[in-house]
Amino acid sequence: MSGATWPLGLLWIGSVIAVAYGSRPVSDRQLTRWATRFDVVIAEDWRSHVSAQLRRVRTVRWGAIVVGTNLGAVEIYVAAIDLERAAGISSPLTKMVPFAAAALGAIAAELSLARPSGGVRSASLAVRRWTDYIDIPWIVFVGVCLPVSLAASVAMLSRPEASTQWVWLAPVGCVLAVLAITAGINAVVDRPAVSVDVDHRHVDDALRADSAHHIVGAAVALAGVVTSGALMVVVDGPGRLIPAVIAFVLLGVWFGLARTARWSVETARLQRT
Amino acid sequence: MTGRVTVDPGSPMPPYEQLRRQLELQIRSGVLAPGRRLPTVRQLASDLGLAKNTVARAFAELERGGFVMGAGRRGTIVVGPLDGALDRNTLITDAARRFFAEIAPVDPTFPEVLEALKRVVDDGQVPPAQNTSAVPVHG
Repeated sequence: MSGATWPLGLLWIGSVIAVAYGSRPVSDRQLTRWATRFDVVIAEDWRSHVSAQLRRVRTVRWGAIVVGTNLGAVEIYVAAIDLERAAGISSPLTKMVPFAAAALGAIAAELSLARPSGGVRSASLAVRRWTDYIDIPWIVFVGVCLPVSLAASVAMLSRPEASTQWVWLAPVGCVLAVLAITAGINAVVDRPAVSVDVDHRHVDDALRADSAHHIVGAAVALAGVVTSGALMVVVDGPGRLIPAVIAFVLLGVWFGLARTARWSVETARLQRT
Repeated sequence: MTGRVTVDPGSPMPPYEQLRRQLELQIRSGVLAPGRRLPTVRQLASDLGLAKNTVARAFAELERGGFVMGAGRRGTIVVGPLDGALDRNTLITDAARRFFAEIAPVDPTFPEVLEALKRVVDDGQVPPAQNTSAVPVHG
């Protein structure tokens, strides 16, 4: 019995760095950039509150990614004990786990945001809807992945040379992505507002939009990667490269939605009406 | 104007009635115009920390009174008061009249009344105004 411990060491170092990066305080510059991205002005008396909220959600999201990556890296853990036993452990399932964890983490982050406590409670009569916080085409994309992955799975079953062990994985991954979006965006819309003050409400809406972008981004990556994986099994020849490229593009989409995409809730509301 | 509602759990008036009255007042005064969509029961219940049934009951009472209409997936829509809209100033004056009638036995001076109103606002019992110095009326 011989193990390889250096990959595990690298994984742990990476995990510690990721946790430290995710939980670091939000600087003034980052806060300003975030406010610009979501087209809001943060009142001076709310800057510390918003910083604390952003730090909390980032910590939870990165924590979930680290946990998911470690769960998905079960091969590395087994290899540290017994190199030979590790060979067959990696599977499409372990590759899916980090994406599913990221989606769940994005939802957990939203649920961790501050809520008003008891006493006299006020509510704005402005209607909150999914479309205030995220572009619908991304949600449609995840919905479309489900029938595509089902078709790929059926095609997989009709190929005698293909392994059918993981045939269920892509549709299940897509269902998970759809569920993550449904539960996540409902949590975003239904989270009680902490203030009815109009400036605070705009910032609160920006926090919702931020959460929605992270949830949908992770769901797009999850559905896209499992569907691409299924397509790679059923497509022959150099055409297999196309789903692989799509998978990488979707990872970029996730990053874009979570970190750079600009969004204005007010503009989205105006367009709706 | 967006409009807003406030519910005081310490009030002797049941929460659904507080909500119904405020919404009715805002519909009557034109703050919530006909055609205006109201938030979902779930959203209002969540924001106000109430059970969904409480908000649903307020909406049902408003619908019975002809102030709102359930529009299926489109939510709840204001249809306006059946007996016509009331002037906003009249509503505020009526509320002030009721308030003064209630405190008349104590015989307060006007500055004392103003001071009390200011205290209520400062204590956060009435949320700060959005754009103007208007405060929500509890009916």
